[in-house]
Amino acid sequence: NGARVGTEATWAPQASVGAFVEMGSAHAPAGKSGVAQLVERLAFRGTANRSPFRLSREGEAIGATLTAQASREQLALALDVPASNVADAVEILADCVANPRYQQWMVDEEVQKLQEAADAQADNPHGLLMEAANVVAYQGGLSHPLVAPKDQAAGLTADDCEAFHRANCTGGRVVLAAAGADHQEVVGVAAELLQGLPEGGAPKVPFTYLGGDHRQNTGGELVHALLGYEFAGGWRDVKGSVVMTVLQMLMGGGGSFSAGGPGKGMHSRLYRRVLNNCPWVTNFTAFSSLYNDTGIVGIVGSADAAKGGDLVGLMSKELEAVASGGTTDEELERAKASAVASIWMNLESKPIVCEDIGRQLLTYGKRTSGADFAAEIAKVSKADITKAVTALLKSTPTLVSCGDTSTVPRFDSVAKR
Amino acid sequence: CRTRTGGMAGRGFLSKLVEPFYARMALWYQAEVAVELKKFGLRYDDLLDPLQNLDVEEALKRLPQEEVDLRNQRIKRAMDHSMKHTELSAEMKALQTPYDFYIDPVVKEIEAENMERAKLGTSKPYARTIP
Repeated sequence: NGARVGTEATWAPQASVGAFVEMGSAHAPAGKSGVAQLVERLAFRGTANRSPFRLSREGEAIGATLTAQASREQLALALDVPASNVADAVEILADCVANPRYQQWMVDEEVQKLQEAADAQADNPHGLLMEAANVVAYQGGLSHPLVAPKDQAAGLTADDCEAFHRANCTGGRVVLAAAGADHQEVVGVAAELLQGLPEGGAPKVPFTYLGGDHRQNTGGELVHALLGYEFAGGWRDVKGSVVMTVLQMLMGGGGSFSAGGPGKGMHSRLYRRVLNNCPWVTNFTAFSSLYNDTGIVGIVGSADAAKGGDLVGLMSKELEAVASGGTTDEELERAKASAVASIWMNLESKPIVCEDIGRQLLTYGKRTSGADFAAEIAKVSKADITKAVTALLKSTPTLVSCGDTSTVPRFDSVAKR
Repeated sequence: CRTRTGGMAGRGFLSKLVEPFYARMALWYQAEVAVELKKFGLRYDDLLDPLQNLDVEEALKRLPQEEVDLRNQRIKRAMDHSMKHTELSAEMKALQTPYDFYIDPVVKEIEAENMERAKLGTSKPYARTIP
């Protein structure tokens, strides 16, 4: 039925098993994108064969940590277990993926928590900005909000969850990944259990990038703004996304109250050029939010309320500085070294290796090793960076702001730059 | 009306002899109880008392709100008729469904969950006991 199993053997006593399904808020029906969050929260709360109590006790018996994460295009369920319990972990995971049980009273409980989460977003301005940027900039699946707004969450039922799962959890969209396990053992357990999934591959989720403007005056002493541009290509453009990763390390940035230290990015461009020189900037960070076929790349920041115009002006200036070749070789080498180090340090961790296998198999159909990615990073040149940022700046900007938005400039004045 | 319990029928030779008698008597008894319930406009499951049985209280929390509201309205109507010594009208009696067991499956599920916990020696999630 198209389900795939990928493993990497290691010589460590810890193993990590994960199921990655290509279903997220982008695949949910337009007014019901909160089902993705519901499916995430109810992932380990009962299946057709196991009550929630039995599931949690079995997890404890094998020493498993259960995690679930829903994003716009993928759902990840993972168990971290000692290596000797991999077979049991695979069985539990396959059960949770293939036969979830959604009971209305559990859904009602979770809907209440979703509504509280929607309220809590107001306290997390950068999270709010990233959510709003996606909703505004895209038309199509990617514009469905991942954090469901309150009124939308109130209308979700167990039937919606079941319909979402039935329509989207098909064999071709499921990958079972394991780090630190023997391939034959995992396939032996998983093959029979995943056979029951219906056939079907991932549909193309249509989208259009439009850019746009969104302001939410939530008051306060600060203004928070996000300026992003489209990176056409997304993860599937491997060379482009490698350049975006290096760009992210190059620009860096962060909060002005950072204690600093090695690896914190204190020598990145945004720290040296902006945060060290402008005391009225509280936060200035480069971000890149990539999906399978597209992405938003830009800068998000916070400043004192009266300086909204200057904040957005600084963002444009920094992006243009890179586009016009302002990067020095020293900065580029530092960024490349930092990116390579980040790859190797992350691949030390079993859960991350498992996630890497799963997500790469879903996105690319194959897995490229860390060494190959490091080699790609080493090939990035200054010309690549300049060309990439110039291409970014040609797209329509996405300007989202919250806090005290009275001084944020008009959208057309930003679009003209 | 539906039979509700697996019951004692069919466990031994004597039981098998008495089975058909029990079946007929059960049908007669259920019909009599239905007549009484229809007088007040109650369902059998409305008689389950959450104050007596904490599993029923939990089941009522799991039911959708409309079911709980309908149950409360039926109980209020029955209390009113009881106080006034009146009955439902004949047309209303014809519409009654006394053996629509809407709480019973949920209570059975809760009892199964409690059994599972008891087997492993865990306590229930709600620890209150009736003194």
